[in-house]
Amino acid sequence: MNISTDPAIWTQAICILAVYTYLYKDNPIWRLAETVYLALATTYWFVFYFFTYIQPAIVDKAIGEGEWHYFLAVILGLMIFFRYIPSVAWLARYPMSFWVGYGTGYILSFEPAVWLTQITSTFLALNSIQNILIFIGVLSTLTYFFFTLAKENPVVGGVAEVGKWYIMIALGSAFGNTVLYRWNLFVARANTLLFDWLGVGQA
Amino acid sequence: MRKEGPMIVTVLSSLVVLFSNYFFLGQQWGLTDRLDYWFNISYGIALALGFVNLTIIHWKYVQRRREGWVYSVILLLVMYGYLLLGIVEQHTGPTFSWIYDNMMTVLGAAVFSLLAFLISSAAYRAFRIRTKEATILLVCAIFILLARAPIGDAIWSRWSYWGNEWFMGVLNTAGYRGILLGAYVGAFAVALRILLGLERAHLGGTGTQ
Repeated sequence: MNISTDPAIWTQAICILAVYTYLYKDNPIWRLAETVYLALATTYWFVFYFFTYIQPAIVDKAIGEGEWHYFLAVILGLMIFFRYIPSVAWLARYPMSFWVGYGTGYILSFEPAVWLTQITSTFLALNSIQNILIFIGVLSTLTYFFFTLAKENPVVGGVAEVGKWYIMIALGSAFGNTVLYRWNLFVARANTLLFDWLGVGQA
Repeated sequence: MRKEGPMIVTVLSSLVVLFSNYFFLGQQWGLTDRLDYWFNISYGIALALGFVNLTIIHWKYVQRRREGWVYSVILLLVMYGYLLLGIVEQHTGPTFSWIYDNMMTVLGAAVFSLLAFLISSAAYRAFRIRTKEATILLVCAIFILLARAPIGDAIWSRWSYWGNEWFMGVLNTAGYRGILLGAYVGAFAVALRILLGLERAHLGGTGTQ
């Protein structure tokens, strides 16, 4: 064993151990780690967005290049704070409306291309087992989600039942992948503790 | 103007995005880039709202000496200390980045990796529900887990082939495609309702007309 003397590694190890104390039970060390994480994450993203977008928009683009409309974006964003003043809280709807409209525009612009590709990838020549299984799977899954169709009908009910199996396979795969991803994260943390921090196996 | 004004903003902003993406003029005027920048600016300010909100809530906890108020003090100290550091040296500064690299990302990854243990107990509970569907779900999960980890191929050399090519590439693709197509159509319908002013949930109230 060759224990690290790097303060960065020690900080990482302390943070990891503080979080893993939760595996025993809820305790003050875990709550401290949780609190510090929340505080750092909240501040980091605000500082990141401020220096990446807000400050350059005001200093470089609005004042420097004369694109004054960016001041409107800042004012629009600041309007969200009106929610703290009950008499004019409705003004906070303006930035929310902009975000919703922006998202709506993007969905209407780009989504059809994605799902039309999915459809064309489904209706392929049924000349292989893979293509047949995908064709049956997509149609049966969609049948399962057609709530206006009477499931009492034996044909519809039977197809929907096949669709349910496909859905379970998809959700099972997603579950398996999620478990694996979490375990990967755990293995990486264990590597930090065992090899980077404690130096297990190092001369 | 309490509802009409925001509704006009919603419709106008979605029409501008549509115009900038579908029409050559919109692209030539650089509308997309500008609107993306508008979004990021206002989004960044909304993050400040979260910052202010946390401050107000935890300041109240400290004033009322609520249970666990010491953690609120720590939260406020860390938040404002880190903010001060960020103002002094920006987000690319050495100390600010050091804290991000060695504390924030590590704490985040460790918290998410805790789910490895919790999700395993959830799988055990799912297995106890002896239904056909739960069994299919769990068998698939284990199959994929072994296909994606080296142990699968160590048990049977064709495991990753069957797991990746057939389970993920065919059965999972078909199931997911069905689910996603439903979700896409649903999202598209909601987007159309918003554009036509029929969906007003973001303005408060019942949300529909």
